Amino acid sequence: MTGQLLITRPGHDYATRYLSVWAEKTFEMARAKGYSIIDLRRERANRKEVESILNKRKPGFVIINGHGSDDSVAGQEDEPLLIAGNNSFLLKGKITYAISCRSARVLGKEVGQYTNTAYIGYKEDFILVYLEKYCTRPLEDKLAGFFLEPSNLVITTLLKGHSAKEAVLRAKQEFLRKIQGLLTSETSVDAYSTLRYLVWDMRNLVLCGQENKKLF
Amino acid sequence: MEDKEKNKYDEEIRKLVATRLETLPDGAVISVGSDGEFTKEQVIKSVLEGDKIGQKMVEIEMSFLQSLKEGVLYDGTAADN
Repeated sequence: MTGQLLITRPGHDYATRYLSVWAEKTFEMARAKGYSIIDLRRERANRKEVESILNKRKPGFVIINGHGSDDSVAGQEDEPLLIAGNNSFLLKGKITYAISCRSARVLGKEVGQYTNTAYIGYKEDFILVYLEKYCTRPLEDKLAGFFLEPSNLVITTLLKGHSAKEAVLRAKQEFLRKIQGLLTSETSVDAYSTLRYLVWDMRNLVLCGQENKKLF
Repeated sequence: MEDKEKNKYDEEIRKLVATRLETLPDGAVISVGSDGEFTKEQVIKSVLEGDKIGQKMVEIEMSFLQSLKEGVLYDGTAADN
């Protein structure tokens, strides 16, 4: 299996750094599956580079980390990268996963209408809770892991060749597993208090477009 | 509900949500997308003042309580699209 994966990884605030660092955990599997990773980090996570790569190299899998709005997803310094009614056609025929706020509402809905295309994203704000003391070492932050491990499962499920629908389902199940784990008596009050946000993210993760779309 | 009663109700909800947020760990930061990143103390203050972030926190809390009522925490199918 060979294919190309485009990922944007801005890092202009702690939230984007957390997303970007945790996303890197999926790289090993991507390479093992034969994917060539086009990694747009920090300043390279800009509109010009994204458009150029989507046009010329035509990756089949696009992962967007960054802030978003109803009709767009953003890169470094919140520059809009993909915008509904503007350049969303660049995602036609692909599977896109946007770890980004609210973009499934308008952008995702629009992209999902293209043939043979799937867009996975969040229809509300993606909430992430992390501990300040780990902000320079995000991978050590187990609290953030409650949010980002289920998110990464969308990516790894797709890399294994499952459908977009299955990827969303498995991620929701992983959110639920974390939630149920937090309900056990061994859980600290600290972690338990993040339940409300995990439920929020789980409920707002949605798939737009072709449910049976696979990477291969 | 009359305005006066509604205001009192909203205030009680805000106080309830603020109290529940006290259980967040010290040093916790809540990222609310492009609206920014907020400490526990900041979100509690926002909830009590009823600003945009506070309203979002109240919405999340209400959604959570609704999820409890719907049994989402025990039945994954309720979390499907």
